[in-house]
Amino acid sequence: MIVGQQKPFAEIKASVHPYSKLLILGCGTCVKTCFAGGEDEVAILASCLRLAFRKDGQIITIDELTVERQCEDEFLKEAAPKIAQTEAVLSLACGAGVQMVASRYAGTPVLPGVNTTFIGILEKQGLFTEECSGCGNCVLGDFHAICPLSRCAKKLLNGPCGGSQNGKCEVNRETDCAWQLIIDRAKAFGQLDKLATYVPPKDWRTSYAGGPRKLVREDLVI
Amino acid sequence: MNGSRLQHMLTLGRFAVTAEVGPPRGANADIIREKAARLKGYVDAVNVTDNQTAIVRMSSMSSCVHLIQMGVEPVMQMVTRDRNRIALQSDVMGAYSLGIRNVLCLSGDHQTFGSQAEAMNVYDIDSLHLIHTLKTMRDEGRDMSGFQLNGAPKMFIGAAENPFADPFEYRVIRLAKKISAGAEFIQTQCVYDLPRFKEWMKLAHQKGLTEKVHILAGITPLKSARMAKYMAANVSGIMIPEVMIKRMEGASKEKAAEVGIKICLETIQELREIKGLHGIHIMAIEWEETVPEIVRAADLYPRPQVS
Amino acid sequence: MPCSSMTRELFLLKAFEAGASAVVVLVCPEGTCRYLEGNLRARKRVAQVKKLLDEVGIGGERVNLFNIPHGDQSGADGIIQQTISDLVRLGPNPAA
Repeated sequence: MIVGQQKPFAEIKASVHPYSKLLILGCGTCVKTCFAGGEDEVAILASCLRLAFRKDGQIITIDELTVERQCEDEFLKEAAPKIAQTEAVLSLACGAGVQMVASRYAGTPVLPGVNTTFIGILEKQGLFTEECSGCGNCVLGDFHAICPLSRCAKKLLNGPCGGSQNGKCEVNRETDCAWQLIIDRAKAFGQLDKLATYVPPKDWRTSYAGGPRKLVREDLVI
Repeated sequence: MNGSRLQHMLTLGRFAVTAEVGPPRGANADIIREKAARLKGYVDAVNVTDNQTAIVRMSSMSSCVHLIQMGVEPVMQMVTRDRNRIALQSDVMGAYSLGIRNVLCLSGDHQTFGSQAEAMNVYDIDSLHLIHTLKTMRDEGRDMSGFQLNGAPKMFIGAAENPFADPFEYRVIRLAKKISAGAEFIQTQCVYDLPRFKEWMKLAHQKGLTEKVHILAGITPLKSARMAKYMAANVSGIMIPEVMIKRMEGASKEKAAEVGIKICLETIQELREIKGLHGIHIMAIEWEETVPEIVRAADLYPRPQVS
Repeated sequence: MPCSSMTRELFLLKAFEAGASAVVVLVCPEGTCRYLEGNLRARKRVAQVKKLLDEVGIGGERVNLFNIPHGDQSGADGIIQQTISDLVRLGPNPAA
């Protein structure tokens, strides 16, 4: 899923401070599963903001709504009535959702409440790890399903570097060295010798380096 | 021969001695000239680091030019952390046009270690790609797009290897990979753990790699017990045996440097007996004044004159 | 609630929104939870609410968790008395 973390409370409070009517809009998909912007998180944030503004003696009306996803019109349109009645929207969706709200409701200021961070997995309860950087041309098949672009801090295709020690990365001694993982897995499958083959440079055109990307499915467009 | 004295030395089968300097954190070229002046005549070539540890310094290429102007042969280190393939190829061409003849290809310490950790990194290509590119530029006169260059840079191509990093068994496979890609000389991370280094050399020798590439062992003299402990704990890829740290701790503050140099000379003596080792690379960063002393005491002075 | 693990952050915050100056959460002693980790979960959530109340500016000291065996009336009384006397120092809820 897309993993993100709610912004620090002080930052959110400062960003919504100019408004007297606010709608906190949650999202029931990715940010819900990483406990950053689902229904429960919306309610807790709303409660905290009310307490904080009341303490400051500032009047602010906070409305709450969570839709299934903010990145699809079919679900986002359910928010139309509440958006029409508010001064600003604090969206707890990922960056894509926030931008969709702004695109569909051009007349209403939209603020982000979540720092969208990575595409990852839930390793165990409470621990999310980055796995994929969306390079647009998946080569996991060449690396025994461990991505050197996302999980090696130096994006080495012919790793490891000289800083790998005890299976950990030089950048963070709690992070596994992706190349150690690749080598271990290659060994387990009896394919260590294949890693002696030179892997040529990446064509980054399919990645975000090539500019904002689009996907058109001709079979679905009418 | 492309005009690299270092390459000439190694091809003739002479035991090579190289050293290393770090450029200044500023535009003051006197710093680099002073360091080079201390080394001149005592080594066959001097490596110039490339924003080492991701700390912003005067560029490697410009520092190399200062060295050339003083009659000192440089080895230009290039990391792939800060520049993409376009900039790297461009720099190689420019470097060759300025008289630089040796390049050491590295991926480079991650920028989070450095003085500007907020920076975006590049890592468009890795060190293997850079080695391969230098080889293609030299042997085919083409850049990475296949374009025929007007003037082919013919560099003596080097790479680094770290026998003290993990996974140990894969290090020799990676060495072979670098050689296939085009590496002609290797400078290793500094050696303290001789048994491990000898083990690695043995494996390399068994695979016939010591005949295909010139390996130079890294040496860094210890200045103090504190330095030894700091390096062992904090610098990735350095292993210092406990017995060595104890020797440093056993010395008084005034005598510590002396002990450090003694250990260094003992290490060099043992290294010279290793089959397939073609030289040493002395990294006495910010302690360049010890290099002449070490080279003399190790019986490696004067350096052979090669035309 | 059948178990203190059913304590949700929002309930505690709503209490403060309704005007409470302090909230006390009583949970079974550690190791005695019949659902094994319920009281540990409650502890984590109370810690989270403390943090939120600090960020809001009301003060996390106003919500506290205590381990107390079921039926210990005098223990519960003692905790409540202590909380009331703490409020003399903390003052009423500034967001009431």
